[in-house]
Amino acid sequence: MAGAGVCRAGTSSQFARMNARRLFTFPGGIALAANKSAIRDRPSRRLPLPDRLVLPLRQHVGVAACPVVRVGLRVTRGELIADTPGYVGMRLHAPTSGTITAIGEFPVIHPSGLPAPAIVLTPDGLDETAAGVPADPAVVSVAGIFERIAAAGIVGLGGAGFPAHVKVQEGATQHVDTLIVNAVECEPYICCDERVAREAADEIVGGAALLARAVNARECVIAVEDDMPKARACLAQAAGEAIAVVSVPAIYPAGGEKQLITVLTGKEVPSGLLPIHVGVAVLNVQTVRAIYHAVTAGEPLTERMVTVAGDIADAGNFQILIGTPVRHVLEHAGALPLGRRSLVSGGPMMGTRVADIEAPVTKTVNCLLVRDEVPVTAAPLPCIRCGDCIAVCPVGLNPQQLFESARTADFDTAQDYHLFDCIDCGCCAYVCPSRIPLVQHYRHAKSAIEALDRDRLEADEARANYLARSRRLATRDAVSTERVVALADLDELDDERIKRELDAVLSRTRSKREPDNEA
Amino acid sequence: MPSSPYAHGARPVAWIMRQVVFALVPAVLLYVYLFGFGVLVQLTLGIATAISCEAAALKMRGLAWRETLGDSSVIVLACLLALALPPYAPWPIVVLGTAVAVLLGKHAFGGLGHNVFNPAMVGTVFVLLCFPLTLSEWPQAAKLTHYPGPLDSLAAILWQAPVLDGVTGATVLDHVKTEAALLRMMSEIDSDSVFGVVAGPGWEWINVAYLLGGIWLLWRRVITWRLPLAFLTGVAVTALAGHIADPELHRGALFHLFAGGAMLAAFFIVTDPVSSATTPRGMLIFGAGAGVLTLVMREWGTYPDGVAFAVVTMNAFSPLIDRLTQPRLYGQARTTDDTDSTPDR
Repeated sequence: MAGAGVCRAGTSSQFARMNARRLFTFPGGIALAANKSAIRDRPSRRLPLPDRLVLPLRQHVGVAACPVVRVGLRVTRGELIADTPGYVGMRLHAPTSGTITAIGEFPVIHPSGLPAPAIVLTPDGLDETAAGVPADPAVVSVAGIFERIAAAGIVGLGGAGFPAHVKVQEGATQHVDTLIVNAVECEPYICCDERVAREAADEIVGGAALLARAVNARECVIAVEDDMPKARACLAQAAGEAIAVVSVPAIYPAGGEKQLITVLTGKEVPSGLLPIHVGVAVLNVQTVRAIYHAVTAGEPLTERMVTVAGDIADAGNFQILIGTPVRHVLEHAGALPLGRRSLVSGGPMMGTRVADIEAPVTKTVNCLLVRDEVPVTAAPLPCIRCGDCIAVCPVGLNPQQLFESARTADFDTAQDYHLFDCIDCGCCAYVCPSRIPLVQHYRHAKSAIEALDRDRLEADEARANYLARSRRLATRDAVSTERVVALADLDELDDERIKRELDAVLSRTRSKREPDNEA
Repeated sequence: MPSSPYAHGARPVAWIMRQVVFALVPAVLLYVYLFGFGVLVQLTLGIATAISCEAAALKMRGLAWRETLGDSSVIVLACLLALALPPYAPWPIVVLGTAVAVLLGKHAFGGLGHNVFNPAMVGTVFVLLCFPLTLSEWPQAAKLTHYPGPLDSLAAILWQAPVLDGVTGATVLDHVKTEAALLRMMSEIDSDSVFGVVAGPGWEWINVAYLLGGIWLLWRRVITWRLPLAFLTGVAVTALAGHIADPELHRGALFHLFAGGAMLAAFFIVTDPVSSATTPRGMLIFGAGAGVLTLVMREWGTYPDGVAFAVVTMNAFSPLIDRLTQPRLYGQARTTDDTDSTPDR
């Protein structure tokens, strides 16, 4: 499907009516150089099959998936290979036909650099598939939509990886004012969502319409950045009147979920709550496209668009099978050998350094960024309290104050300064004249606090268990004494009395059941 | 392994400090034009003292002196202090003031980023308290018959050579204060030969030069508008209030804005990030407070100008101001932001 049906819509005045919508602003933010011009106009490409696909069991928020295949089994494209053990989880499917050759620990893209459990599939090159069950988007039931989204293993493809079926079902059970389809790629270099918007606008609009029906949204908005007029034109041409396509100013991090909600609706999501609490549901544009495929064609999520950018020979957007090793992608983008260049998964502001290029592209990888980076050798200078970080924080934090408490491990004060409202966007560190790695300090503090809380919770549970056991032991004697007394009472009862008691119980039960039978 | 972001867009501290030094150039040139080469000698002495003291302090504290000296912040400190002194004040004053500023004002508190008080103002206050009389002796630009060249200036500062005899005297702020104390009305003082267009001759142009430097800093985005504007508003509103209440006792806003160190303070001193308030609303409170205090000290204090005392006083309140003006957290109701977003401790 990559490259197919590229929209040729112009940016003519017929779309001038757009942006009649009133927009709002969020505090802070930075206008970053987009660095997208080199690749945004190039059609996306598809990679040849790699030698092997590594499919981590955990590519999302929630519990890890459980393998339902064993080594040696042959699978076809779209076949379920790992199921979710819980509601907040993700199913995993074979991206092509082949043989399961290993299940074990493999390198993945993770800040810790540690390996994680994964299933390895060796493709046979036939790409056989058990055809999915198509459905007519106009008539498919709401329950059917949920079922198909959950079955397809779709998670948020914008990077967060929240299971899509959970989000959609929450939307259905609660009131949704605005359904937002997020195509605002505010990070530099990344333009995979823009490519998808230009190459598959119909599918995005179709998915948006399905979702709007499923969650019964009052309005549906597709948001793009104001520096992607072509994507906007394509989407607007496909959308018609029912769905609004809105350009928002290209201020980083306008594509952040909460920031985008504020820009489009003026609402703010209170600390610790989800967008649905203010009547908004936000889904990434690629997620919406995947939902469209899942519902209309019964296709699970096994591939995604990824930007491969930076200082490399053949940068561009690639439609990549989930599980493709990063090495395979870089090879075809002319980025090997890496040499002294740095490799980041995601954008320069929020990405994760890739420690091992054997790690696979997962559902949440939107960009592979290779850059000639001059490593910073000088130690950071002390904070001079210039306040630039306060001015750019999109959450309204006081980053320099937060830094002091994080640095000195004063975690209570850090939480008073709303550490957990930090979205890791990196604006503060970007503008810091002393080059203090602020976000790193916050991440460290967050994980330290979480570890402390976990310890405390475990200690509390242990204490509760101990208390419960002591109580059981203490009451056991008393209980047995009571039972002896009860038995003694029984001896004294006559048959008449037992019969009366039994009748009473039976009649009570009968009277309880009767209304049920009637219903 | 460092974590994201892997992009960086800030100007380094050293760059910021260099811009501040550049912004002082017009005022320094005007000093030279009006008062001779004395200011250059003071600047040289001050910078040399500042760098030596900084290097010594860093060495004593066991820090890498090259990296921290490289940020040029002590050079800014030395320039501000030297510009606050009369151009022909004897050399021990600038050396002592600068040493106190760097060692006591800055390093005793923990060095760059940790000083509670503006170090340049700490040094200024110190020498003002020690040498009040000497520091009130400013050359009278209009009366300079012999223009002091480099050698004259050196001789005057190092050996107190009598090059400037008879041409130093009180500044316009000093004159107004003294005469007002003698119960003269402002309308009478008006006819004294101490006034230029709106304030003291020469002095008002130096304030204009600071203003131009400040506007350049704003344009280069080295400073933001909040602190200077709040300070100048504080000065102007307080002056205007006094002037409206009794024009015979208090001079007007324009006089106070262009007299003494008003513009220097607005763009170069209250804008010191380390010792000022840092939250957006805190900056407004800090600036306005320093402006009002400057006027209060000019009108009722012992010293003709109150900038240094006002700034140091407000510095003491910076942490409190910051705490009470935390930015509104995203998602927090606008009506309760003052109470809710303030940390408990």
